[in-house]
Amino acid sequence: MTQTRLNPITVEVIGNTLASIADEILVGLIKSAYSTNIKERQDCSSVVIDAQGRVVSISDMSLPMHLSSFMFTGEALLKRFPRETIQDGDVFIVNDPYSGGPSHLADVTFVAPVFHGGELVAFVGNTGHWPDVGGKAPGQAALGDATEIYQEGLRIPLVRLYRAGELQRDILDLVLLNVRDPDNRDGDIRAHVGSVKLGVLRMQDLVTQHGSEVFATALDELLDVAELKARHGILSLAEGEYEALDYLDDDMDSDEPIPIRVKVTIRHKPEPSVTVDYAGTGGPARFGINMPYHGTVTVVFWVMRSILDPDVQPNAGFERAVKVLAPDNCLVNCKAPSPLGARYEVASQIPDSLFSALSGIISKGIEAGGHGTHGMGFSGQPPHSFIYYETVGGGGGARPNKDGINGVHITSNLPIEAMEQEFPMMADRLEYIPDSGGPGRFRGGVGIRKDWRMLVDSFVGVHSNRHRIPGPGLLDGKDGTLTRIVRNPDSSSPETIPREATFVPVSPDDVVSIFAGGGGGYGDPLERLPEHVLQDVVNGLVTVEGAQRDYGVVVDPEQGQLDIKATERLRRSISANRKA
Amino acid sequence: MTRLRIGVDVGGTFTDHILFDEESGALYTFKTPSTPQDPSRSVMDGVHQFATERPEGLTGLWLMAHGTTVNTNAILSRTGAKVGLITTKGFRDVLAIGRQTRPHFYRWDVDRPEPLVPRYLRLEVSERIDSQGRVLLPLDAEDVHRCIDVFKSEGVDAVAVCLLHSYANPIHEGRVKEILKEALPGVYLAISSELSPEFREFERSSTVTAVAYVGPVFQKYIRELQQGLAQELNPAPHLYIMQSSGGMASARVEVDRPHLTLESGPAAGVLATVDLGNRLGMKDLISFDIGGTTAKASLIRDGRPSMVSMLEIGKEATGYYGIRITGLPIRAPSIDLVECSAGGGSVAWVDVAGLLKVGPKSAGAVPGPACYDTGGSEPTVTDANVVLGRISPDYFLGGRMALKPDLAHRAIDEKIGKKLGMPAHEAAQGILDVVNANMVRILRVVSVSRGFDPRQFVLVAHGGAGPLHAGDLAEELGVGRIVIPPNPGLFSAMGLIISDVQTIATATRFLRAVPENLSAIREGLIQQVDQCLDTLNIEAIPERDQVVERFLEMRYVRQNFELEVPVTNELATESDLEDVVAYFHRLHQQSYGHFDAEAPVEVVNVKARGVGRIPKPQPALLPSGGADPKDAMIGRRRVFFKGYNDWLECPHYDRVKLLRNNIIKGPAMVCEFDSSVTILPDHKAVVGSMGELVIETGKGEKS
Repeated sequence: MTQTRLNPITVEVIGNTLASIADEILVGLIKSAYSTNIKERQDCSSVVIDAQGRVVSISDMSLPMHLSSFMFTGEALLKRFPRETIQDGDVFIVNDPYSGGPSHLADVTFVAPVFHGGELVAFVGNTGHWPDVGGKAPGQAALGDATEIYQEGLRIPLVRLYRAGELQRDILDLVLLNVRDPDNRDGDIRAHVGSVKLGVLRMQDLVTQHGSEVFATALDELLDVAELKARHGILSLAEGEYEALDYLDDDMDSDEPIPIRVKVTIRHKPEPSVTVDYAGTGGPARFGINMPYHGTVTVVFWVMRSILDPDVQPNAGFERAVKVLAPDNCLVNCKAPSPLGARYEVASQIPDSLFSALSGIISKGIEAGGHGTHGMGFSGQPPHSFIYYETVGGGGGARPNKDGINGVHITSNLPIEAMEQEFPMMADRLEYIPDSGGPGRFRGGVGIRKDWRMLVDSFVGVHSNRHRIPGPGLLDGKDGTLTRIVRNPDSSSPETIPREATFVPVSPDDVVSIFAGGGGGYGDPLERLPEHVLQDVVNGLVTVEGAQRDYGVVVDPEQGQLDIKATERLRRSISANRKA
Repeated sequence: MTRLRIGVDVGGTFTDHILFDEESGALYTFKTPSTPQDPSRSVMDGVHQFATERPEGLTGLWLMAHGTTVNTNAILSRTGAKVGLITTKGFRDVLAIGRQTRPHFYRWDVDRPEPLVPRYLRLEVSERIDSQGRVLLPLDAEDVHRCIDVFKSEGVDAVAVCLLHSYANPIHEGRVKEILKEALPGVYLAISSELSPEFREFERSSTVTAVAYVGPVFQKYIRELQQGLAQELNPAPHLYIMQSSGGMASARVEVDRPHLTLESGPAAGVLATVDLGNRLGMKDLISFDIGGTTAKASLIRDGRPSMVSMLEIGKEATGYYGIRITGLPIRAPSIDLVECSAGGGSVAWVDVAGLLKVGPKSAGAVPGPACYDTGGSEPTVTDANVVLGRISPDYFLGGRMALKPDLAHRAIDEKIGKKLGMPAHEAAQGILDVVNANMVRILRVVSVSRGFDPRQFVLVAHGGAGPLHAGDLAEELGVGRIVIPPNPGLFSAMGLIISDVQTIATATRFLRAVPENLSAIREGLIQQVDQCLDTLNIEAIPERDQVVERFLEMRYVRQNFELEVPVTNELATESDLEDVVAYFHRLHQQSYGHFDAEAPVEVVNVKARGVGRIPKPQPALLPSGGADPKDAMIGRRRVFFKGYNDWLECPHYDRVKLLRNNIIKGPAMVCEFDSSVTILPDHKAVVGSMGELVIETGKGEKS
């Protein structure tokens, strides 16, 4: 570890300013973007990268998954474009995961160099999840049923959209011709570029203020700071090897679940370090549920940052203390041309398995298994052309000291009134599902049921996991419930929609329902305080039957009161049966 | 006849009072600890104090303007009313699910705020209206009665109603209200289409339940306060409450709209800044208020504060309202205040990587900074100011409280200096550098990130600690001129006594900004204007003092965040509309760095702001003196200045003895009852006609 060379106060001041610049870039993007995904659901991120291409600072409002959008972008950019060819006013665009871009094609990254006195001193960038980047179906880049990346949409390598401040019209035309709804994507591009340019100006002010030498040293030291903090956090974890095994539902070719096997090694010497090894993980899947290596690293960083120090920047310094190993060409390290549109399924389960592996040594800030991820895309053909994509929350896993969060996800939902203003659809309900939270001393969060009613002929696309393998409970907690997606669930002929689908036709008055699963429980449900079970029954999150079956708690439905004696008897008999 | 007015601002720690004699221009001030258990007590304390202090008593007191935290506190401490909520069938969990996001990406143990209404009191009725306001399914009145049965047996104090798309057609909510009114007399009702007729169901539900939650509490508070005033004073003064939007409303109007008061006190501080700027002929200002635990920045352009349409109570991190919703969103027009945890009480510490951090922890008033000798041992920003000689230990609070500089020195030396390997004064300067950087960050958020260059603005620094830091902040931002108002620690209370009455009406109307919609847009505006005029009439504002302005909240079609565009023409012709749209393009360019003249633009909300002008008091003129402030000099002491990296022997002045036209050349300190002003080397302060200090920094672009 290097000794801090600058005045630590200068480093702190510059670090704070970088964070605020990253925030400003992101706010500028959100406020002027056109895609629902960016403007309402805030599926976007921003970054500051140093002149060597290393990530230094991301906005804390950034989606954790998007770190991968930047992790290798700087490096790839400097490899592809000799430093002396990069000019002030350039803006680069990239979305291909196999050429330095984000972790699936739907995420589109914009990066601009920052010059000071003719010298390249840094880069700033942002990423937004576009609703469509072409491909075989609307929103395909986020769906999972493609068999190679070419089907998922337009692959954009690192290219200049602006050269020395000049828009490269031919590149723009090429991009817009290959995406559905080009007018709105054009609006998004303006928002991406506008906010990145604001970031460049702010960076130039900062460098002017401190001088480029101090600035560059401060960036180096900010990496050292992150390394030091990560290593410090590791010292609070007991040394050892910790393992977990979770499964992704299937690869849709067969019913066979795909194992995600993880081994976490904590070492205090010679230097404190964490190694996360995915040896024994299956795949790659034939369909687009694979994750590229940098995506896997990103999610591991997200989880390890949460555990080691929630305030540390997950930058290139952090990377020195946290290593991720993944066998070549598997589910968590897929290679071109493996499809990967629905890679968030894997992303949603990586925290589950890491928390499970470490659950024996950590009792704060972890969760039992969660509900997975559920992306729902709707689209229409002329005269009702539209594309609408949304992720639906489910139950978060229970925690060592409290219940899981009900109906939660990493990205925002779309307000129903906004959806009905903009798209030819209506919502019939948005509500919690009783008994969906995995029982435990602390209950898993409950899932959400959401019903959409079609107003015109449309198509549904889906990518969703935990349809076969529920979010696992921890330490005797029970699993959460599975997710289902059903067309006309309350009719005489309900039809299940598969968890990966692109063009499922639906007609006016059809109802598409998602029953998003609940999170796993934590600890033995028989140890849950009967008063807490009663409260859940009163609030309709647990049914009277569920209270008896899952918790051994007897509630008088008429009075809404506990039957304490009957509860004691029931809990004794359940315990006795378990032993027998 | 004597006419008196009182401004009283109840803050978290102190309650500030100002009594103003309109005839003589005399000001009386009083500061007393707040009494959170019964906030009206500290309010009445001031009334008693002034009644005794002023030989003539309080005869002629006609107005009391009040900034209150009663409603915010009730939400934060979850001590509001028992509320029932009625929603459209299928949507009772909207309030709890909100935007479904994790409140903190990296802290998995943080929960979303608990909804103000538990699930068993969130009930549904069968009905449906679409986004165009068409009734698809009529309201089932039987369902309403079933809800009422539950509410009766549960004994709720208040009922909130939020049905889908009620902003587009309020008919069902109106009917529900009628039924509730008849069946539940005495129960407080909050109806979303009346309180917040704007789209996005979660934000609207959250707002209306918050109103129901605090309404009964606020009603009781106002009733008791009015009774208290009536007992002491005959006739009782007219009681006004400050709104977050920076205007007053009379208490009887405000009890039905308590959500409008959540940032009552801070808004008053911004308003005082606007008023001071008006008197000095300065229109572009940044109001900066540094208290004990937080700093708040707000931008004023062309004499108008920037506004936001939503607040979040209990927000996690970041000053950007509405970007990632992590608190309870409350839709209420509010002055755009960005705050950070940085103030005199902020605690400095060294993190594991050896970096110096300041805050967010605050020593508050208890245990307080180390130098208070009241039990605190952590080094704070106040301690740093003491170590550097910026706060004179024997002049603090006018000498009422002797500070212990050795304790400040020890705390900083032991907890910071030794760890960083630097002498105490360097560590103290480091603390100021870090806390100033945190403050500069929010000053940039309100200026640079909104598209404004701070160098073109005047920095108005107030709050107890504002004047100490203003010089450094101005240097950092390149600001050319600083104004330190008289009584900077009581500035919010000052804002209360110069406030006008204000009312804002908004409604959602999705209309493309095209000629075919001209009359619909105009009609929408007229409705809002009429609503404002009705309120001003209820407030008994004479017609000649009523001013109503109109605004359209606009965006490019398919965008999601609106910009507020003033409408200054009659909107009678196509070219009137074109002018408004052109203004929108310019505003977009300024705010986000780009615009698109070809892209279709739409109106989302129509809005009007009604102001009822209340005569402004004229403060007394400060007697004139020469340029030399020698008569106000207390003595000379050593103060450390970073720019010189040295201790400089510099004069200290007593602010109350300064006279108009006195000129103070830095380095110097100006001491007063509840604050100290740092005049940096190379800065120059001139004493103005009301006692304000106008400091020229030699930087910036003079405005």
